[in-house]
Amino acid sequence: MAQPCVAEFVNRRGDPFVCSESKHGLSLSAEYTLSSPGVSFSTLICCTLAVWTFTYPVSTYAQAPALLASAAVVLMLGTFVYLHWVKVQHESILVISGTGVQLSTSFASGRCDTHFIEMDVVKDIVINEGIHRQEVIYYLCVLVRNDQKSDGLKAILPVFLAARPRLDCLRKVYRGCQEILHAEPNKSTCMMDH
Amino acid sequence: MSDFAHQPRTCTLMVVAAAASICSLFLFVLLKAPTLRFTTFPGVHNCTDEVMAENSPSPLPERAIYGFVLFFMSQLMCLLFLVWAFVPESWLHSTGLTYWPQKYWAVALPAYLITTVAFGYTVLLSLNIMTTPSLDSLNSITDPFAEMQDIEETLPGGIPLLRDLPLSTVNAYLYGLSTE
Repeated sequence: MAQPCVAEFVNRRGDPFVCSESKHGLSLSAEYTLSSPGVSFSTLICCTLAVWTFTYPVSTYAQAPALLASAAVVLMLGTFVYLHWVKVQHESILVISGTGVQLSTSFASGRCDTHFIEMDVVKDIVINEGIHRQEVIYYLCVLVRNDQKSDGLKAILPVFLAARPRLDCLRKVYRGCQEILHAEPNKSTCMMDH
Repeated sequence: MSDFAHQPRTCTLMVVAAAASICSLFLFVLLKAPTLRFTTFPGVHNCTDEVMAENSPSPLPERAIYGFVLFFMSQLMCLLFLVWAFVPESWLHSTGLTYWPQKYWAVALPAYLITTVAFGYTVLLSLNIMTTPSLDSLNSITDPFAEMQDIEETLPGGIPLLRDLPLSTVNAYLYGLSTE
């Protein structure tokens, strides 16, 4: 039975975002989705106006009308590229006990990029501190083992890089994930009996 | 090229000999520094001077010598540079020495030095940023020494060995379900 719980937080930049928590069963699975506000209409209008105010006098002075048309095309293509590859709408982490961890990023154009990690190779989900550009940040990451038997680290996968949550949101996600990761096996089979 | 044939070598040699003698004087002072006494340290006996000076945290006499030599040589070099840069070439030639570096270098060398300093600041900062481990680098969590450490059991009532704590433990302690 799903219990979605939506909360508003502030990201590292100061902009608000929404964290939605969705749990199933008793420590069977948990999904945390961080949604950033989309591209606002005013931003789009401002960009278009800026390009136009700059290009129109230049094209008139240089007597090159093609400049204005090409600027419009570049702006359109740039918007497509931005929406498809840059602007992140939702980022989510789904932990299913005994099965694995799924990280997914969905962009403003609708493209969804998912990455699944088996529970055998998931060592832990932790909050690590690291230097990012000029500041030190807290970020949630999945520690991936070399293989099932060894304990050596193969990789670290940082999560929620675009949403930039602060420590309060990260603690909530961390606790939820730890609950699933350390759940006893018999609890996870509760759903199968029903 | 004709200047080279008419160069008064004797005068040049005299200048070089004077510089060499000054350098040798200072080298002598440097090497003999431990045995020369320019100051008296309170509470230091006459014999076993070096041993007493080594055992105390105060600076050794050599340091004073090095400092003085550095100071004097730097002041001398600065003075010579300024003299060569400002004195007109005719006056320099009239001393009998004609084989001087081009005056171009009086401006070029300081310009090179200033550019090097600015370059150094920029490059050092950039190198620091470049060698910072990225967020997904394993170096931000562990290193070969931490992975190879033995985790021995602590005796009851004993002090645990100094070692790197695993990140999971630290997280459970800081952000775990038992904290608030």
